[in-house]
Amino acid sequence: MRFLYASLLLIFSKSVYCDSIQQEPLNFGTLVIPQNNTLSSITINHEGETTTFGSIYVLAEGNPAELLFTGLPPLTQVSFNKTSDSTLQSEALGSNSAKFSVVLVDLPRTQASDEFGELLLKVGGRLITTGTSQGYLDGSFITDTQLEITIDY
Amino acid sequence: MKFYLSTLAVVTAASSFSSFAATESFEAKVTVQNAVVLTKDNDLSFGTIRAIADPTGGEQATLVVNPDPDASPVSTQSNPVSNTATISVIEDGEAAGFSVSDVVPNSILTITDPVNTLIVSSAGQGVNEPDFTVDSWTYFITSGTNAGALYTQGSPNLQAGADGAVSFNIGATLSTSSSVSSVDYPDGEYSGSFNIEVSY
Repeated sequence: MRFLYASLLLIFSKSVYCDSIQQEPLNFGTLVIPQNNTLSSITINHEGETTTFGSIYVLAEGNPAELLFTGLPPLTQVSFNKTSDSTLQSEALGSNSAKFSVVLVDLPRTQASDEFGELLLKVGGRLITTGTSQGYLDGSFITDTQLEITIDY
Repeated sequence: MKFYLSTLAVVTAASSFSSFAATESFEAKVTVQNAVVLTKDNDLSFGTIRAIADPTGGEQATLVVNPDPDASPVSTQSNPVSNTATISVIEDGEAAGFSVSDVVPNSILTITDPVNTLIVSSAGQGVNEPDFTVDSWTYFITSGTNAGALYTQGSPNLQAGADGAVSFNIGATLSTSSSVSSVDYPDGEYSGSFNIEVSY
């Protein structure tokens, strides 16, 4: 009977969710967008490489998001899925400036935790202009709703 | 004991097929910097001149300041044949100088001409005193990818270098007054403010 209790305890301890710490937000850097007449975009892959399309120029490079997961089972394959995208709005000027939409791309499908049950996930994304002719005013833009992914293991 | 073993088998099977899911959220951000950093290195000066305005305002004498730093002479006057208006150069002027920085490396920039063109006595324009106008702005690129070339408005060629910087000089034409006046230009300094715009 004592052996049975020990087995059940082992199962429940495994079902505790892991923790995640945002090491770095998904940062598209500092951009110049002189015209917003057509859709333009910038993509950062999970290795930090940047490509642009249309009327968008990079003044300072950004970086992919970095999420550190802890408390995972050691050496376990973890799978990731995107659940929601988001929009970026001017921090100071709100609706006076055009918004961006941001979608997650280059999300690794699976990645293994290390022997300590930790996993550093790098997530790339694509920032897309509206192309509506409303200008982008200078300043910082942040997500109005957070980006989400689900993890399974 | 047999019961315990079978229970353990069921539990173990459940454990091997169990999977766990969680949702994690994070932020994204970006900074937009469409404005360019434009720094005035020096003002445009037409130097020291002797000037006479046509009292009827019908004819104008002109003085051109060349934006090319190697131009000689820097200032060139042109007076109407009738000599109703004249400008004579006593001391040469100097082109204005501007520097642009913190722009996208190798980007092409556009210069928009100033709008306000009136220059009046710094002491204030008296009744029936003539003024000057400034127009025909010209630009000479002094650094960046196209250093040494005149700026062409129709096909902008003010191109930043790989360091995201470019500089240029501004020249212009000073003209005697086109308004009716009944007194001479009073001695002294004449000035006006002009806004120049550089953009992508």
